Amino acid sequence: MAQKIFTEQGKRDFEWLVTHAQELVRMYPDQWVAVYRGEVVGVGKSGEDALQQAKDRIEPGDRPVVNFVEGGAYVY
Amino acid sequence: MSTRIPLAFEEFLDPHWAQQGITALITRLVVRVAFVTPDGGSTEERKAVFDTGAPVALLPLGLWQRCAVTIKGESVLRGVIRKRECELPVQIGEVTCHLPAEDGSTVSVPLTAYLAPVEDIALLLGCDRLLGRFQVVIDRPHKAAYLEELSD
Repeated sequence: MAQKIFTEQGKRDFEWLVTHAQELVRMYPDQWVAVYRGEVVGVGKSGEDALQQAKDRIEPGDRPVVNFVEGGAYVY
Repeated sequence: MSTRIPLAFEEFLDPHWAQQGITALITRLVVRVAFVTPDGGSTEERKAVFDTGAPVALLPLGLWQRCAVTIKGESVLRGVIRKRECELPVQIGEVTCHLPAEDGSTVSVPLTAYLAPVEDIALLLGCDRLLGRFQVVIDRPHKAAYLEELSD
């Protein structure tokens, strides 16, 4: 069976990322994080590094939500 | 009938500003997104910044290398600082993103994207295709924001 793209868990983890932005900016500026079940389970210089770190900390078949943590007030 | 894709307001203080007593909030409009991979599957979900100041999407190296991508050409990414040393050479390509709609369905949108040669950049979704297809509603006082596709 094809893996579901967006899950309820993913929605909760996305919301966790949004509500914990301040804490993440302080702890992981300019780094990639992987979040699963309301917890940072991977940190790295790339999203793929963060995913790799997260591998052993998530249920088989599940996937974390990955995000780049901005270090401050960047203008793009 | 319409399809709505929720956006969220992410807000934080710049730590360096805060040390100086500057309390202006950094506000980003963010969205859940995944991308189509070469085998027809999708990447993991990511949080992207919806940036109406960006003409096209911007994908970091590790991500776009795992996507189904058609390279169209190359360019230079320029920002607010016009110095040559602040330019970033990029490729331009076509990718397809998935966005989750409010009703539980998934909307697929082909996007033109800057394909960056570096990792330490935010994932951005720019205007291309999105503004042409969706109305953008941003109502910060009521904490409501979404992209809305109206069907005939």
